[in-house]
Amino acid sequence: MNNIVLRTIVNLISRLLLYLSIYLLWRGHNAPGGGFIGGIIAAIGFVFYAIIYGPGKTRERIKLPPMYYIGGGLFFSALSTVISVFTGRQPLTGLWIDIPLPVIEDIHLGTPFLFDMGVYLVVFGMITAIIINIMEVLRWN
Amino acid sequence: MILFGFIFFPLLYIIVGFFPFPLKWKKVLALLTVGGNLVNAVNLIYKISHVGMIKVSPGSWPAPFGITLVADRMSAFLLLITAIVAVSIVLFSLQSVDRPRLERGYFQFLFGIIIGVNGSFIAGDLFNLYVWFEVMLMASFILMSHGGEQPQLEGAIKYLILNLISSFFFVAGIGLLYGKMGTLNLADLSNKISQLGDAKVILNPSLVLIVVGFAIKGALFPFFFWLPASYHTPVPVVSALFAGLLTKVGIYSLIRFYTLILYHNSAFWNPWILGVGTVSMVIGVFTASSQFDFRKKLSFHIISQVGYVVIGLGFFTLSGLAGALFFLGHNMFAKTNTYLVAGWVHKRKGTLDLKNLGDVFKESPVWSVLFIISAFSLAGLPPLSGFIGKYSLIKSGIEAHHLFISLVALFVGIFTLFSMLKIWIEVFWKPVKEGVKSFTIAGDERLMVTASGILALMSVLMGIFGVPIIDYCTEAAADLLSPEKYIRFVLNV
Amino acid sequence: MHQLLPYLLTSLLVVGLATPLLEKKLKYRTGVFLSVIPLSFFLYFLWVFTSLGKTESLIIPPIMELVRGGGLSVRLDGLSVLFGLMVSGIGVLVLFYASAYMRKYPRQGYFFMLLTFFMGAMLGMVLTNNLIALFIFWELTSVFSFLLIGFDNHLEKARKAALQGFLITAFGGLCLLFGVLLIGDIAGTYEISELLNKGELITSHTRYPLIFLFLVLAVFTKSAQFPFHFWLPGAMNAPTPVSAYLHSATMVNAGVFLLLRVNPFIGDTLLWDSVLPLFGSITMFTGALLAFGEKDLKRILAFTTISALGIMVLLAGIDTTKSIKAALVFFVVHGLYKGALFMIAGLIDKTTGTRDIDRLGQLWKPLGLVSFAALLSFFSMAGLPPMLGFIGKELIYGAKMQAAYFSNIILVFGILSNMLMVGISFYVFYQVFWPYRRVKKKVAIDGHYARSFLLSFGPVILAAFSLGLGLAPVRIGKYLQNAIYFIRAEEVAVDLGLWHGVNAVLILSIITVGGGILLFIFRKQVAFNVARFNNWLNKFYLPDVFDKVIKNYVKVASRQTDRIQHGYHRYYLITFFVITSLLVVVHLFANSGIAPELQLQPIKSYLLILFIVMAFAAGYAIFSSSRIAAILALGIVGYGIGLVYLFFGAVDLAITQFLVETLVMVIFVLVIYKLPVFAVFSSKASRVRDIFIALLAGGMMGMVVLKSNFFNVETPISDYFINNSLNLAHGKNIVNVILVDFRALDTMGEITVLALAAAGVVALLRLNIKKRENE
Repeated sequence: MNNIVLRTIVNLISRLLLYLSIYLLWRGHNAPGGGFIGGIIAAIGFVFYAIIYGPGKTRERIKLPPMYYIGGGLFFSALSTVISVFTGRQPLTGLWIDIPLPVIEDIHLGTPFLFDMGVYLVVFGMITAIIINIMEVLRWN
Repeated sequence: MILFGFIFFPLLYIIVGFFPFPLKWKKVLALLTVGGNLVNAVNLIYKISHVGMIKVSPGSWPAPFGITLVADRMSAFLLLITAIVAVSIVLFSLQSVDRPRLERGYFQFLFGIIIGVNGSFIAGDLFNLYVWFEVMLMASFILMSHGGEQPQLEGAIKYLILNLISSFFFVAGIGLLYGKMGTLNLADLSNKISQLGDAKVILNPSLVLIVVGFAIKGALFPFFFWLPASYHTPVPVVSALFAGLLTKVGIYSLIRFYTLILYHNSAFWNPWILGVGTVSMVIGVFTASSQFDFRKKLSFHIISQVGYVVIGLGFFTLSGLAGALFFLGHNMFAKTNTYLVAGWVHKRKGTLDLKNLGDVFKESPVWSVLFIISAFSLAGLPPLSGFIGKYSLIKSGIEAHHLFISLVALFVGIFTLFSMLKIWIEVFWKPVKEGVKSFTIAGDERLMVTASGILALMSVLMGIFGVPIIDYCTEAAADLLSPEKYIRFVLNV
Repeated sequence: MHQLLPYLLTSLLVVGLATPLLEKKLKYRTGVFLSVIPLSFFLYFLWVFTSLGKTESLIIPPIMELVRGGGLSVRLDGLSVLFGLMVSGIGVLVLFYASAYMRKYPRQGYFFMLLTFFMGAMLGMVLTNNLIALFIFWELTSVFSFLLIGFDNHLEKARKAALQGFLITAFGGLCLLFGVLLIGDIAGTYEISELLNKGELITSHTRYPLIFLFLVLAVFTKSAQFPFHFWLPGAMNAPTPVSAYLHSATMVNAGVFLLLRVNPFIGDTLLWDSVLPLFGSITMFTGALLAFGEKDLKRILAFTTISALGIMVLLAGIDTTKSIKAALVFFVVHGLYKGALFMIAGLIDKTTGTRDIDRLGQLWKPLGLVSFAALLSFFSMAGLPPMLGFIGKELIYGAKMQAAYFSNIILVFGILSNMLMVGISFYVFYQVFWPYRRVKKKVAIDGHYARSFLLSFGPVILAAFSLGLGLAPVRIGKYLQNAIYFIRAEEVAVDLGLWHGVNAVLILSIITVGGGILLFIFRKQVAFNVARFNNWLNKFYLPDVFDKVIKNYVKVASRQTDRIQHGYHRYYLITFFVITSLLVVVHLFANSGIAPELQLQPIKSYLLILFIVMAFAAGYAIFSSSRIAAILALGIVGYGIGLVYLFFGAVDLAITQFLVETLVMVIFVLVIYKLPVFAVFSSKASRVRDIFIALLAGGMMGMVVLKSNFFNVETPISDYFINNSLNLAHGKNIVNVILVDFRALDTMGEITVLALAAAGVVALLRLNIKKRENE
């Protein structure tokens, strides 16, 4: 699929979806969104990308092997479960800090967000891993 | 944190598994992880034997609202046995599983199963239990198909589909139950159901769905088909792991569910449980006698042995439950070990067809002894663990005036013995047929012997120290029989 | 001293484990070395036996328990010590004998290990004061018997015999366990010393017949009573020391021992006094008769053993003081002569290479002292004076006359059997040893074995005992009182003697011997006819019948298994769905009266349209013959579900549903071209059937959902989430807060599933192990 227009559009869409997914992840705690949805959306962007550009290019585009994303995601989630243990609470207890910022409203950050980020990465990694590998095995493009 | 560790440690290995560390590190780490899990389990049982129950509420949310992980004596007992079985499985895998499989995440999936099993044993929440079932199912499906050999895939597909039905029924039942009762916490559910009075029969349809889910998992009659269709296909050590742990989780859940929820309506459930247990016992040995494959014979036997546990539950007396629990533990050791020996035989002879095997006794007395200990233990010969288990069950059956079922349980033993002797004679005693050659196993097999030795030793120890262990099981059974204690502990009232 | 006994017994286990190591050092001398153990037991028992008061018993509390109430407590009374003496005494001789006999065998260490274990189990069984422990040891003797019969495991006959023997004795063992459990359930204890005075309680209980049945089954299988006798001749495939020890002198007597043990609290009932003598007599006669038709020395001895066991069961069943006395004496008599004869048979086998009595002959001179021992033993077996066997037989006749039921029949059978015994004793002795025969037999003789001290030591000593005790019977008579006291709860003076004057018993003895001599004279005809009878009987040759039963069982099992585990995946699915659906539906209707009435709300029109579209899509997916169309149709169903979520305000759920649906379709489209061509495998009829099953399952789910009419007992936990999401968990999006905070553990599990799934898919795609090349 060497249509230059299509390529440009897909490139753009995948980028947009990535940003959108990060936004969704960020606001997920207070409005529809979250790690799961974010992860899928980001991945769908790359699925489109892979369909047009092929799995090899997609691998380059996502920089790290998809497995690392999964591992990293699990690691963040696991980390967020034990942070509270080190402070003497039950595992998975949410810990929150307020980061006061000028101009915009304060950032209210907690371990659940870290957890959500982990979910995001796992979902993203999982979908890209599956898609890329299927494509490679099927010799797509 | 002890309880959370049962999930956390294996999870750590899974995380590490996603990164390309050298295989050697991964092997060491796998050993360390199961070792840590074992230490954790020993620690837990030590604590539990003093305080009785331990709980943790991840997220610090109070009991019926957040998820609670609870361990009572039964959980601790099974966790410990799982941990020991896991150690020996990992040891055995190190030397028996081929390199490509090890490199392709074998241990990750293995720890996936361990998370699932551990999680199920401590889940105090119905949906959480479902989640651990899913973890277990996913990991076991992958392990079953891992390697992609033709029979493997065939078995794996059957396994997956029939188990998915179990998940489907289970989750549907949970949904319906939640819709009616508004809670998922087992203790809370039990508590609320006890206040329902006669109206509780309207819960039956959803409970039936959940129980069917458990019955499929536990390979009970008439839902056992997936087990013999699939257990003989994967790498032998994987069958050993499955045989030791998977069905037991289903049965554990059934016991937990029965003693917390179903017992409210035991006049209805009890005959069913007893009937299903009895038929499973008989069907299992009956079908096993017809098999001429080492592993298939053992697979069919699982059904029968699961039946024993279920009748123990069905007696629903102190000694009956204690016997069931003991039997469950004994079976995890003995069954796993017979499969491990099968794994070794397979490696050595390249086949598991009884007709083509033979001479193992001459070639390796050590493995023969390891097998015969576990096999005789399964057949219930004294002074091994199987005898204590069967003895307790039959005794409690007589005390509960279920003479007929006790007799069935007794004489199923002779058929079990028959199958085990058949294996012993065909595989170990018989001179091998002309033209079938055996292999020398590349590298040393000391880890494999150690792995199997641990389990055989456990069968012996559980027999010799039968009294203290049965006493422990009796305490556990006492907890099960008075769910108020569990409810009060979990709900803090 | 006595307190050490349980420890000594357990230490036998350690010794047994160490035997293979010992064997490496000592080679064939292992047996001689090991014999120190039974010898010390023997001396100890001798001391106890002679020092025990007339009504005294010693009970040593258990050192450990395997199960509650089932401890290895030891009981020393006349009965246990008498059996202990025989077990340990013959044990010494057998170990001596085995050292020489097994010299050329491989795996001697293993052999002696089993023998030591067996000795420990046997001693434990006779010594214990606890029925559970008795069962455990009982079962253990079966196990070791199995391993020993199958010692020559390269021979199919040995394997088969081992399997048969074990299955039958293990079956009996299980019966014993059940009987013991029933006794324990009634009496509340397993300790024999406590049970002794609970006879009334047990025998009058409604479950007594059941107890009796199970115990008798145990006895009959272990002690090879008709119709379970057939495993014993097969057991002769074991090496001869084993036959001598296990299958004549000790283990097979366990059943008799059990009868004597439980007699005080189970015996003395109508059942006991009729069933046992009946089967005992049948066994006694059958054994003696069939022995005449055999040619193999060991098999002849095996059948006479069966006969002897029959006598003992019969005596235990007659259940008078006299009969018990006779049983005890006969136990000793039989152990002595049968042990000796088996050892001699083995020696002959080694010396000449055959055990066929037709091919043997004129061994009197070559075997020297052993021949004399054989003569004495055969005399004892025939019940001729001055051997102990004579005293035994006299007692037996006396006892039989006392039998409560059909004493005449028993007596006639007894005389016939004894005639046969006399006949066969003469016959075998004549065939094998008699030096003056017209036709010279050519028998190759290996002088090394013939003169082996270790081989001849055992039989000679045993024969000497047979003779010595016969001449001075008072020696043992005095000490039998204690045993009888604990069996019959009576104090009696036991005086044994060779000569009691001319009385009915003596006359019977004379008749018997006369008959036996007649049988001997007509031995050819008798043997021929019995052999013919045997041939006819072979149609019902029990080992083969047993084999056939097993084979048929396996055949039936495999046929049924094919029916149950047929391998058709669709039928498994059908079973699952149909059974579950029916169960659920039954419950729905069974309880419809109790559940509150359904209150359906009018359905919104846009939802109705949506559902119709979804139903059409689903139907299309089923009937479409194009895969891609089916997948797209299913996608519509999926999106429809997403819309339903949206209508009910579950935005997150809806988004997720849409996204997942899209992804799944993409993946499907990716792989669809790689799939094989679409084909129809099912017949029309099966599809119609499947429609009904699908409707049933779907209808069931629908009904359950409809009928569940969500009534809430109390406030559901979701209220808590709604109330606390913002102030406690700092989030406005409740769904997300549930996912990452309230129930984060579930999410944790689910992402683990996802991670594993990804790794699994990759592994499945990448790891393709063809059938391994190295095989």
